[in-house]
Amino acid sequence: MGRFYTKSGIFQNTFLISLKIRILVIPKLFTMAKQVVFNSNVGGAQFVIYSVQGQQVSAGPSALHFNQQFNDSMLVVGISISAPNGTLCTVTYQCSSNGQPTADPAKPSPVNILIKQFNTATVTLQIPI
Amino acid sequence: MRRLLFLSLILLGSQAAKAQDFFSDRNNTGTPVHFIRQSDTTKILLFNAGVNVSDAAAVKLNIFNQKWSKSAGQTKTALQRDGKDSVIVKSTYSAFGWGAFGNIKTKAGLGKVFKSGKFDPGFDGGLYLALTSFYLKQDSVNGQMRPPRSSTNSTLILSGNIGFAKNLLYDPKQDFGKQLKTENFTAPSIGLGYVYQPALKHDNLFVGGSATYKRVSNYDDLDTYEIKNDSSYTDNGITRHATKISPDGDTYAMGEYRTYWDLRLRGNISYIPRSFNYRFGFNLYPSVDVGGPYAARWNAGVGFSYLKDNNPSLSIVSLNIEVNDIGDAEGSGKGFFKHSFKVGISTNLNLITGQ
Repeated sequence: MGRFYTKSGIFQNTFLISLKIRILVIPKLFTMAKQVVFNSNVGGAQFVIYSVQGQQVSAGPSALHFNQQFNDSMLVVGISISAPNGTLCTVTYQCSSNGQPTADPAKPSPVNILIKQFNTATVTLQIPI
Repeated sequence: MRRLLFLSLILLGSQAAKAQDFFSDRNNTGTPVHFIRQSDTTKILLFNAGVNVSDAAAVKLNIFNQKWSKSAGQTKTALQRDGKDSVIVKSTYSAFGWGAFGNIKTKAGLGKVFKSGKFDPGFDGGLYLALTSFYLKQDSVNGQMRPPRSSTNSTLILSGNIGFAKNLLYDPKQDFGKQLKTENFTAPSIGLGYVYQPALKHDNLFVGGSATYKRVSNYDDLDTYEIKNDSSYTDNGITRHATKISPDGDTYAMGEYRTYWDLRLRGNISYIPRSFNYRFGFNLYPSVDVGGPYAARWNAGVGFSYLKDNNPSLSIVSLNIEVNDIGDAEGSGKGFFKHSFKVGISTNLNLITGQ
């Protein structure tokens, strides 16, 4: 933060507090909602359950598509897969936020996952939006 | 309520029957089911072509088609866990499939069939329906879904088929002109099988049972002879031998030929360990046959299967060793090893569309 030259220290403190409010509070009050488009598919699975931001949104079908507004900075998509142990499944997905492509930096599409335990596995995508 | 109780009793009965046809037996008579999707729109068909060598050699063609339901059902049980609102969510998702198969077998050997086109033919074909349900259990804590704990699967298979065979019989006790005869044999059958896959930590286990009611003959158990009609002609010191081949083939079975209705109850445990990277399956299948002029015949079989990569329920090659009619209820008098011990090898080509 730069230096602010004033004759009054009181005024300087007030100015700094005001600036902090601007920086920290105002952006939260006026966050722009982002238009997020997400498509995904799971190949090789028998039963797929999708959750978005922790809420289950789909059970059964292997594909998920949505186009909606989010205020969060991170899109969290949980993909729970059912198939016999030893089955190789592939998750493919595309995501865009306000028209800009984005992806989980740790799990770029496609994500291969081998079912190893209790006939089930979960892939959690954390996509900055 | 009464209807529910009746349905429960039927399902319990089919489980108690203990058998299934998830993996094939010595004669490669399984009903392969394959419930995997590549997407919601990709058409998945399983084509299976198999060759089996046992008492008789056989070629089998099989197709299986799957259709998935559009959505899943759910039950939720609320409870308090560690002071947090927790919900156990059990999701159920179902699929339906149908399959068809055709099986040509010959007691004379496949080589002879392809070489001459003349053989003692046996054909059977049929249809089967499979209904499967997947159960996935997961927790929801404070409204947030957790990764699932386990997934199990139940499959019910109803099959029906009909077989036709032209059985060639040789009876040396008859007059010469009546010693060779052809018996046409029609063999309908109906079967109900059940398979349950529990959730093991790393391995795969399939436990099931089936009941099959079928018309059978003992033709495969009879000894076979090659019979040809030779004629000799001599002229100017040259003898010519001419062999007349029967238009139906020249391999005949000898012995007491019987046909009867048979009820087979079969149990099945199939184990696929992770230690072999899910490529080997071990199969144990005891069964009992009830029906016909015999007392109950007890059988047992073990199978070793090499499985398709990433599809741990489809067999590529399997070796099956069976001991049938352990107590010799059929009274063959051949001794245990000769009468009871049977080995079969099957190899299958599995093609899956959409993969």
